[in-house]
Amino acid sequence: MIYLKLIWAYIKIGIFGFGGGYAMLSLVEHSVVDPGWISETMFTDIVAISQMTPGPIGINSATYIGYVAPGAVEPSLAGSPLWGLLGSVACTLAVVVPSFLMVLYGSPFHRRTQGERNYKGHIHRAASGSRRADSLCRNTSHELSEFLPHRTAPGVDNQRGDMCGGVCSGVFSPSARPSQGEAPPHSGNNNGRLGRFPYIWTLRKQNMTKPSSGFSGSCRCSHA
Amino acid sequence: MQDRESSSLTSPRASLGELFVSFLKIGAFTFGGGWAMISIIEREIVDKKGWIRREEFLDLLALAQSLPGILAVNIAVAVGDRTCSRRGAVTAALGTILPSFLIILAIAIFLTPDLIKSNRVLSSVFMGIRPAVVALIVAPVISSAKAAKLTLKTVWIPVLVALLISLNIGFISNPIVYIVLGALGGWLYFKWSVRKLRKTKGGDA
Repeated sequence: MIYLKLIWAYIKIGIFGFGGGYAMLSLVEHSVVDPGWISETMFTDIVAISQMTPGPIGINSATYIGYVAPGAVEPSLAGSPLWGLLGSVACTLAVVVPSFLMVLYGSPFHRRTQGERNYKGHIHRAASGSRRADSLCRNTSHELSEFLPHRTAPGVDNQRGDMCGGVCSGVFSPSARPSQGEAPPHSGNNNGRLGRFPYIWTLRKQNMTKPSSGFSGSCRCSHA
Repeated sequence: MQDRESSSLTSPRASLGELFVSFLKIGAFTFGGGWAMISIIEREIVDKKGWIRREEFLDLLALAQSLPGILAVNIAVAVGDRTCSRRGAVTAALGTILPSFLIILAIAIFLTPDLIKSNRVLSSVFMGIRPAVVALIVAPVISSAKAAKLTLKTVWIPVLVALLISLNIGFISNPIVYIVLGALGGWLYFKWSVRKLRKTKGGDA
């Protein structure tokens, strides 16, 4: 009977014990000393012992109180250390299990919001987005190249290619720009996905007199 | 499955045995509970073994800290779950608990309350320790009061609650009541401040 009471007390401590060891002490005292399982001086001694030995103070005090309490409440249990052992196992597990479950079932939620899986999904979406944009871009840029003159000043061509890239990455894959959010999509260094589009790539290679600085970086970026 | 593959790409995989030994060492050689353990866990798991990146560890720490229970066990469960899923969580938790459990069990078997009372040396040793325990408990009170940024306006709350709990009258002095009331109060304050913020924003627009 005392074991059930101990387990119940320590489950409550596990659920409401916010703030770690010392913050739990008042709760432990309330639920262990007040029913008369352990005397006030004994509790003070247990705190001292828990502090002197390695390990978290909550576990230490739970183990000690679990060992001492059954013998103190029912004198018939005081003889054999096995009853104390049972009590300390019960208390230690009872104080750990609630928070254990909370962390386990809090942790997948946490993983879903910020973890690896989401990051990977993001990249998957980005890749498929840019693939779709790729095929669209081929058509669009082809049409654009019909309209715009082919070999004029390099600045103009640059503008045209970037505009194309800006349209593609901006409209068709809004999630495809994970880290380049600060720069506007059509600025010179932000050719993010252009490295993946063979048509525009060759177009730009033909038209540009010198490669822009963002070029090699853009290739690496699209494979990240 | 995909998840596991990706984590093996970014960081070395931890085996259950390694995880258990790491947390066993952490549990056996750290004195002074929660926060003293955190830095040692970080050094072992992040710096030495590289199972988890530092930012991820800080995220897990935030999770472990905001949940109730023993901080060291919470962070062990979170780290174990992240490195070896559910089995890892159980392993890491057992590794953290086991050393202190065994040590305290040995002490409890030999250092019974009757022995402390009857042995003159031991009883005088514990007489000397008891005032020091008061200091041990007061020190975190001061540091957590600083962390909570108590002002003259709010200092009455902990003082009043402490008095009510020490009065020791039934329902009123149950610490759980104040924990729940505090959580409720914080939630209501959050709601109220959000509403206030919305009102001022609406007024501007």
